[in-house]
Amino acid sequence: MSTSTDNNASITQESGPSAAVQDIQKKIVVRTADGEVFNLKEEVAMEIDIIKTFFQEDSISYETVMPLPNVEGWEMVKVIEYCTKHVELKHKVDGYKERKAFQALFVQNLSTKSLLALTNTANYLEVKYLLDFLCQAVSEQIKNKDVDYVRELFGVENDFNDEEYEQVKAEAPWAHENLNNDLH
Amino acid sequence: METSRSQVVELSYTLALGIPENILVEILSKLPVKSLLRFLCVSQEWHALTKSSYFIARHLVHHSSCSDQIRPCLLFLSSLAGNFEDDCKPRLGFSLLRDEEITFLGLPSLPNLTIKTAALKLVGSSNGLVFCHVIDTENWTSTTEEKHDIASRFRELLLVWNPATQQFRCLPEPKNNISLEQEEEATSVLFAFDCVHDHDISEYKLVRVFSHGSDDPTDHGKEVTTFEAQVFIRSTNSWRQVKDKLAFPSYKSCFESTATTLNGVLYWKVVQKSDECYVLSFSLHEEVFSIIQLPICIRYLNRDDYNWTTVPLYSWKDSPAIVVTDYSANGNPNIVFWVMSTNEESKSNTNESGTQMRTPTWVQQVRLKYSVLDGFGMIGRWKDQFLFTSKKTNEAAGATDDIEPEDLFLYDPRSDTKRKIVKHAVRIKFIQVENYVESLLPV
Repeated sequence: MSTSTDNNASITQESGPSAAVQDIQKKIVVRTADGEVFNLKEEVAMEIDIIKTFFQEDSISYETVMPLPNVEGWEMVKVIEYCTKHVELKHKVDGYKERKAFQALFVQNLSTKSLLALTNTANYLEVKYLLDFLCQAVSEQIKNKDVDYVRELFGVENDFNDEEYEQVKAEAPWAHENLNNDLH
Repeated sequence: METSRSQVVELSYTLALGIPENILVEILSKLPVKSLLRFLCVSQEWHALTKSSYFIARHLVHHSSCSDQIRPCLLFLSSLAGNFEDDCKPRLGFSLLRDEEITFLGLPSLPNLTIKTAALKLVGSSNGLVFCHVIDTENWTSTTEEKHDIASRFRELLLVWNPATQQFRCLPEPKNNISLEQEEEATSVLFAFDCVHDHDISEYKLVRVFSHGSDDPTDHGKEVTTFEAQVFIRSTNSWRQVKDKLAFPSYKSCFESTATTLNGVLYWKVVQKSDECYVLSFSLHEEVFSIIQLPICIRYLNRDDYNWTTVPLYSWKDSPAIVVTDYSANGNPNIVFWVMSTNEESKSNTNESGTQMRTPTWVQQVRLKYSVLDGFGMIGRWKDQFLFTSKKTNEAAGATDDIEPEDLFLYDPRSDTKRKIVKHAVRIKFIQVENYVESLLPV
């Protein structure tokens, strides 16, 4: 049984132009904190500035696996998902609606805490447009929440004593009223 | 993103989740003002952050760019009709249009101003601060009965207000450095307001321009009228007389309701006894007056020209523009915008009194077919489109008590399309409009 199913695309039976393009496209390999390994298409990888700088600045060969110790596997999945879509939409003339629909789906199953973690990751990886989008998404989710929720989310301790708290609250008491606290 | 990796490492980290401060600033700057005023109770650090001018500036930058997209954020001077049952007169106040929803806001400390007893002018709005000039004839307490001058018969207020933070302040009254005789004649008071944020984001300047008879004792025919100004700067909290004055010869009248402030310059229309018209200007930054000459075809006042006396100076692509109705083209009237070019090469020379006289080039731009807009009243401009209400603007704005709903439209001259942006604003009438952005600026 000698015919090995060779995954190397250059021996593929199809000879159409799209397949030819796919062969040439290089892959960049990264490893996240939890040991997961990801193969990224070069054009997607180059959207992530920290990866781009790593390989281009010192002309490091694509054979090297880049470690990303501050990134979890699930975060990498989401980042790749967003950047891939971004690259795809770059070539489209009017992708506004499609982008909006994609963005809504993207955040759908993520808790606010996860969104926040992802924001941190986007900052570390240096993907500006993803960072902007995530900051906006987080602010949307917290804008109607109360002070306790926000403290818990960001892990911030209350360093006001009772008297001080009442004082600062009195600066704008109306801001604490009429909150549409959506269950989350 | 151009930040280098070393910069990311240097950022300070806040507690458990390790959110760097720059990220926190990004997230918070996208929040509406009400949320931020609540979250300043989260911790001392957050409290200090939301009050810092760095944060206030970032918040403003973000919200300014947001309102620049498809849906305008506008503040309207408007009136709210009373209920039939209460037989209330229409209240004066503001309407805020944001995300295609209209909210009526009464004036702080003066929620019950009505059309019959008060005059309210929206002087301007900049960086989230709104400046209004109120003349209230009903709710005043007279202190001196003896004086004949107008001041004791009504209360005049200069109000700076941030509708988002609900802070407001009444500014002290300026004093005129002119003789009592001149003061009685003093008319044509104009105001302009602008934020002058060279160093401090919260700094603003207000100017009050007024005119009076000649200072020259030999000028008995009152041939020359002098325009003077006083400025108020937030950081000094006081009024100061401006050195420059404008001596305008053969003056007949000025049209206060036509005044407009654009890029820190106040413009207004005047006419001489010979019916020759000019535009006068005062620059808030340089504190200098100048006289601007108009193109010949619109230089002479046509007595029937409604536009000249009451229609404000508009702007087109950042330059002042005069709107006239042009009947010349085959009898069909058009609305034409004459736009002033503000390039440096426009000729200017100084007249005998030392006032700069400018003769810039005026170009006819934007012709709107009058028929398209028949039945609509133009109240302002948003970017390159025009704002219309579905009724002709009343000559005496808000004079009627009727409560027919008004629609608000945006008309785009390039595509010749109208888009309704507010449907049936019940009981609200729109009088004047300014661009508005939510901000944390202190008053």
